[in-house]
Amino acid sequence: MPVKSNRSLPSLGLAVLITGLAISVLALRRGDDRLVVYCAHDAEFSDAILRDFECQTGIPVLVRYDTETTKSLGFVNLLKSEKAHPRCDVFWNNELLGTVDLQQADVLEPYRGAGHARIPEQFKDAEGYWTGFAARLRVYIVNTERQPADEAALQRRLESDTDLSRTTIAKPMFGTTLTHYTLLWHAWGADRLKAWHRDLRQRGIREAGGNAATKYLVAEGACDFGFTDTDDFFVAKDDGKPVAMTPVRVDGRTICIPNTVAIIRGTKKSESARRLVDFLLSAETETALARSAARQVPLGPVTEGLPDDVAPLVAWASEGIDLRSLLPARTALIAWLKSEYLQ
Amino acid sequence: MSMAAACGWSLGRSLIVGLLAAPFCFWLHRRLTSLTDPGRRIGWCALALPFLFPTLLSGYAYSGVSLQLINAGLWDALPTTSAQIVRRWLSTHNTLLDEALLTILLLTRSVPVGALLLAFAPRPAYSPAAWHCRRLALPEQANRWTRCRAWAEYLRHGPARGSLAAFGLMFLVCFQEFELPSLLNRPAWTVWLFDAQVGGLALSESLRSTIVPLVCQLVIVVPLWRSLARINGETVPPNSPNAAHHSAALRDTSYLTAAVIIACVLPLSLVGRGIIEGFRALLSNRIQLERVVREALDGALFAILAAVLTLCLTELGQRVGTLRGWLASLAVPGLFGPLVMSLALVRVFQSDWLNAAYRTRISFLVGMILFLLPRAMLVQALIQATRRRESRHAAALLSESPDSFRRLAAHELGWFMGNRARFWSVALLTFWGYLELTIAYLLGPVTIVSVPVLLYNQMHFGKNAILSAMTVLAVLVPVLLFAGAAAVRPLLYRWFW
Repeated sequence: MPVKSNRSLPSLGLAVLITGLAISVLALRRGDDRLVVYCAHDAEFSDAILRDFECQTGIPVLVRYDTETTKSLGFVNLLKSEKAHPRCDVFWNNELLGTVDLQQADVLEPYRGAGHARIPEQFKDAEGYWTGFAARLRVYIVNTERQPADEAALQRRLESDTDLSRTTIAKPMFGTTLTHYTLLWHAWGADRLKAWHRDLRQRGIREAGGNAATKYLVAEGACDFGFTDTDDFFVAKDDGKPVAMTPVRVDGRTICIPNTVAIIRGTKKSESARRLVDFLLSAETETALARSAARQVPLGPVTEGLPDDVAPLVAWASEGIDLRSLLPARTALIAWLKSEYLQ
Repeated sequence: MSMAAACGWSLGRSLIVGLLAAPFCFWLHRRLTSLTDPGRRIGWCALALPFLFPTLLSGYAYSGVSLQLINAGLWDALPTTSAQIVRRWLSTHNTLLDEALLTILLLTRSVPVGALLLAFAPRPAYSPAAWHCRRLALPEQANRWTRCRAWAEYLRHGPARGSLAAFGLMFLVCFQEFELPSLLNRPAWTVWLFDAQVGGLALSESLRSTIVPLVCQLVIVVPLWRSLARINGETVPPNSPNAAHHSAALRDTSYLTAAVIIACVLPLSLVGRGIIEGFRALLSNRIQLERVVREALDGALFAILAAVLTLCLTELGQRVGTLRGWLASLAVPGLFGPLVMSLALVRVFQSDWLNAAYRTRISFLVGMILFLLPRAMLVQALIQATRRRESRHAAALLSESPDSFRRLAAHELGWFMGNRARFWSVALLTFWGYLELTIAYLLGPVTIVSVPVLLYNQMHFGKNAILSAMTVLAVLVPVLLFAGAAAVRPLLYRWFW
């Protein structure tokens, strides 16, 4: 009795396999009904906040993070390039000037809700295009086994040491280092900032890939001190490293850099986006971020107690310079930095 | 640092690694092809392990190690002054250590590739005997130029042809590497370009920046592609290593042992430190755990789909002669590395008529297939080299038997003689596609944050137990999927046949 040939079985099996894989892949992916958030804040801290929002509101959220080395600048340029066909609904930036840049480029949609009202004027756009919250401060991180955490002593070393190979700073093209340089460009003028930067490099300052890298160099003793942010400092402190911090000051004022949140123009989920914005700007979220390992400084009034580490930072934050008008300086600075680093 | 400087670093590093790797390639190729089973299998597996070990894992494991050495307790065994000198030297020269480490890791990855290519390099047109006759035939008065031309011809067509192809492939492996220099904070054109692109450099400028590295690679890719296209299964038996040279055996065994330890064992132990605590923390953080598992499963299934489609394409190209040329052309973009290829694809998919596809997984799938295609073709060529058509045909005839026991036996034979190689090819291609970072980052739609991107973003903050646990879990997912499929396969066969 002839046996039916089963040579078609492998081809059929292959077709079934491919179809099955394709379906599985699509099924694992829930539909595009999720609120898309581009988040420049560290995933370690922001994930819990966003999942909390999901639990409380039932609104599913899809988060996209950036890389440590490029931070929010990558998102700012991405959002500009997507302006005609926006894919993002809400932008959670970890600094301010990039968000102002987006406002100027007409990428944002204004919204003034309950959250907007509780944040001080200095840290928000009056029309509601963006609002700041949960800030960090620019600080010197110091290895206490090699150097006391004294602001004046650190300034003297920066000005007079002929060899700065035991001092570190992140490359100023991105992140809060970019904000720091923008402030200096505005306060000192372009020529003085350029001379200062070139002088630091000539004297051998160690340029790291990001604030986490500068923290690491100081914490491990490869450098005596460096520039970083409070959240990176606390990571080293929690690891038991011999580190201390003191704020970086420009003209006697501190550099307080808030997170900012904004709704993207053209979003099809305005209602959900507004709920997320109000959630992020609430006292509960600011308290949660203050209590997280990042110890971010609340800008609005909070009812619950703050950790001991964070309470002193509130005073430093109140001495912060108003960063809102620095966008022209930032644009000019980026153009100059590109010529210094990318060519 | 400019792109030209970064390219200079990559070029110099790749040339040094290529030159250092070449003798090891040659020695190990001779040693392993002269062995018999099971020693040969063990040897080739040990050689291949460093290449197959995920660079994301080894880069993560070794990142910051040079800094941690500063405060390592082992210097306390030295006199105080010496310990201080060593620590001071380490703190100012830790980048040198990172560069040395990167070079060694690239060496361990390059040698297996070169040795494998040497094993399957096509028979040379000139044998050493023919070359000797040619030299004797050269007139006494032949000038230097004539001798140089004869020597160049020998290099092109003689036994050195395979060596040049092997060197070329090793150079490409080093030159195109991204994760290792990125995580070890060493300059490389791939790191420069990735950071610049993600940091906001306009796409057109990014593509212009690729001209210099493209040219460097073109010089290698064109002759290499021609060599790869000639692999036909005919292997050239090398000169057997002299059995009396125990030092050579010791040298080869030492290299294999050291390579496996440095490239695989040490990274696993560095990542494994605190892994149990990391898994405990991960299990208590349901949000993170769910996220990693979901992205890992999704990424693995997607990579399997891409791998299966790629393998189907290569098999189709082999069976249909007219498609072979098209397939070979399609494989060329992948030879330039995932970063350059992805940037070019981003440009293509951001055009008006393809923009809709850019928002979906189609661009990601196309990128992954193009990336896997040259690898799939090489793997396929290696499989064909060992396949015995006559035995497979006999097994296929036996599968027509009316007796179910014989049919099952025939299909089992078919599995061992053909389908098993296909299965593990898919597994290998899946692994490569699943862990590929730059394609996922540049071509993945916004709805996807693939596992390598998720892990890479966090790795720059330094090592911690929970991240180590996430990394191990992410790497294990495809391994377990395929191990499970291999275990279940006999039952499925029994059920079907």
